[in-house]
Amino acid sequence: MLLLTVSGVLASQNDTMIVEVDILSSTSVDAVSIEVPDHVFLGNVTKGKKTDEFQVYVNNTGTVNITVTPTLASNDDIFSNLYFWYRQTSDWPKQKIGDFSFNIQKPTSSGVRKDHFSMWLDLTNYTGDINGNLIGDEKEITFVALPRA
Amino acid sequence: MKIGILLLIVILSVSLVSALQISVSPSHININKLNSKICKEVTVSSDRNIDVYLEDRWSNAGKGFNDYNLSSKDFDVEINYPKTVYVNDEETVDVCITANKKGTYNGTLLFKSENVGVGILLKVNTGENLVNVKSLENNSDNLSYTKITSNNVDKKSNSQFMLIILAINSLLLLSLLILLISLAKV
Repeated sequence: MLLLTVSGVLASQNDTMIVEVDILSSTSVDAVSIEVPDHVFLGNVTKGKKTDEFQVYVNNTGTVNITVTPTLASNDDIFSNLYFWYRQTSDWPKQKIGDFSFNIQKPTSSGVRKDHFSMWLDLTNYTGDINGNLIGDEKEITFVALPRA
Repeated sequence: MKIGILLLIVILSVSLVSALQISVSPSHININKLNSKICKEVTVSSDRNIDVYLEDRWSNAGKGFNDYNLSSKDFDVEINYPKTVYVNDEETVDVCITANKKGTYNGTLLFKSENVGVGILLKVNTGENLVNVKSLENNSDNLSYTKITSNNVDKKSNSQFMLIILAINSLLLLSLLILLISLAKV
């Protein structure tokens, strides 16, 4: 006890102290990574109608929080009527492609964080012409993941 | 029955395979020096052997991907990278950036293949002068810093501190003496 009190006095008499800190490089080694399905088949639709809603799962397989934005690879009159609904909850609005994006937090220990939204093609207000059946009409949608700033 | 289970496994396996994964690291490149060429290695990997197409987009605000609708020329940024990379498991890409315009603006370098695009952020902050730095210091959310804490004893309060230590020591010695005396009596 005496030794402890003496050492306490010695420490308090010393006006300098050694401070140690690990200074890490400012360059981040985080990774941005997502996994999305290759192909989604929305079924049949005619002008004035809409397809069923299909759930699409996106995995955040990186180490940072990300924002995922679906974009059309090229302009298209029909596929610009794609709608999205995050998690199908009333907290989120149904949004058209171009307006819709959602966040996925970084995964915890498992290495993957899964999230989902639903998508459908809504031609109820489509005014363009559809000449004949467009069987297997495909458009490329790119799901872009950016790290959240 | 067994055939049915096997078919189910095959179907499930097929659905798992039909997803594309692309990873890019690092997630950010910071450019803080004006007119200085900064080169970084970016690692891109995928679960398939694919062609990956690179493109850069720029923005003043840079919140969502749709905000990145300007080109590097709009910000007088010189940026060099290969336009296409064939990724066989993992590849490294050299990216060189020179920011020739003062200010704070963001870019993204997008790695696209099929229906997946993964971007890294290119953060340019070649602030005008110290005024900008001070305004940043006032906003603690924008700062990442190392905080060092210690029990600091300055010279003015040193004598006061010494008195407290001496008083505590005296009390401890007194209690020790009382304890020894009571033990000796027993």
